[in-house]
Amino acid sequence: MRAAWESAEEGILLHSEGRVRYLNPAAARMLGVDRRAVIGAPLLFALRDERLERLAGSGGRGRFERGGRVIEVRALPGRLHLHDRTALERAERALAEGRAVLFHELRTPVAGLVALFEALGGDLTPEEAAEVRGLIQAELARLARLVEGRRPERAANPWPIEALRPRLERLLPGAAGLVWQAPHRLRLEADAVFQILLNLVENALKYGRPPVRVVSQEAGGGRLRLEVQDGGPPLPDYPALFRPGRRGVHAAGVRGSGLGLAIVRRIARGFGGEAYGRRVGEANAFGVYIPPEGWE
Amino acid sequence: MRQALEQEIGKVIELFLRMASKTKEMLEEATEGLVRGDPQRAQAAIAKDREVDALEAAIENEVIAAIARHQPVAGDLRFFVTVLKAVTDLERAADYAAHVAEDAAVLAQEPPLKRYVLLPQMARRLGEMLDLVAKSVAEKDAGAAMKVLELDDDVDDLYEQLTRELITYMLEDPRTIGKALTLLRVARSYERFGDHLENIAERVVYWVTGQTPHR
Repeated sequence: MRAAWESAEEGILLHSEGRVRYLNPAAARMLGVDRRAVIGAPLLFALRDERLERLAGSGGRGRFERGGRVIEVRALPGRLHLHDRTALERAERALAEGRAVLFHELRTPVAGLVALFEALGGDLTPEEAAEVRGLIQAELARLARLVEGRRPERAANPWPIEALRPRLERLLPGAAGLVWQAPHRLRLEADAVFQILLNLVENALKYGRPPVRVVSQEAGGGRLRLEVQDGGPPLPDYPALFRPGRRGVHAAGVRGSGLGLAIVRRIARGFGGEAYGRRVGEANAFGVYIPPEGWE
Repeated sequence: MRQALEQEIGKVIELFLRMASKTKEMLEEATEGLVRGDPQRAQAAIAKDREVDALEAAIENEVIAAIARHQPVAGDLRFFVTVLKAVTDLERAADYAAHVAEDAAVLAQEPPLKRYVLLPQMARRLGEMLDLVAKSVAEKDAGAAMKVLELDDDVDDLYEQLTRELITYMLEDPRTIGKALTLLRVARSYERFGDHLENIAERVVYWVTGQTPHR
């Protein structure tokens, strides 16, 4: 039996009279102890935690963290079984984050679609109704691709950044007041860029201050800077805001998940670019660097 | 004679591990009280402070009795002196966990200023540092003690990051000053907690290697 335990993934610790009698390499690894130093020693020498020591005496189940790993314990008379649940918990957390990202990305477009459908029922000229139907179709197609989780592709033909303006204005209340200073043309998938601008403009309208500008300008190394600027006060730590779950100091009391910028960064990296936040004069700017092959 | 001394050393280490474990419980309960806005968890942490104080006294008595009985020299003497000084630092660290719990109980009375992200990160690092302190003493492991010193740099970075963030809150909206100052005090308590663990780690390095760690 002990030979099997020596190579087992499950941690086994045997004890009697309050002392460690045996622990296998997996248990030593999970507990973060040198097993030569603890065999024969009081139980606490191996467990290093009075709560675990009590569990070993009373029996039952528990969990603890050691060295950044999550360990589940089952205590039977005279023995402890240890399981490393770190990977499982990480997977569950990734699943929850995935759900949160999907919810975040669907919430604004769905609200916009509801408004577009309502507009269809109102007094529209045939031309306006056709435009609204086109927007609904384009947005539904984008959402379908988003749910499929496909990586962005390069556009066959370059298209002007300002082409996204009508979609943004229709989907986001408040986007009609934006100032556009984006004269460049992109070779990236329009839906991916739209998703970036949707997040950045929504953030600027929610947390920033007017005027809100969409700006494109050449940066060093042949890259293009596409950013959304707003007149809000300086923020303490721009890079930190790109971490999932981080929200800015002006976000208190405003609904949000802290995922928008993390999503922007993921999309930017998907086409070989990078996301950034910076202070420009009296404005906060959040945007993406587009690599040389992605614009003209 | 040697066996009796080994038994004394073993007993002192066991008591030290008990004290470190109790301090970690306090740290975790104080942090949960803060993050969940749960004053009962915070009170549970405060209540454990006396148990830590009692363990400190018990260890001091054991060490003094062992020195009197065995008159240890060299490494054994360094061990007893290390522990004698380390328990003072550990007791001070537990006091700071109690301070966090006291502030958590106050903060729980009102809606939080923000979602706490950096403070739990600081607490998690401190928990890892405590585990390593325990390992370094139990296994005479200078490497584990050196890792404590590295982790304390992380805690200091998080403290500075949080301080900058809270100052911005206060500049932006003076109504946040009261809560922000309390959170600054919490962050300071965590930072000081880390400093006391760093002191212990430096002494362990000296006990094991006879050298003071260069940083």
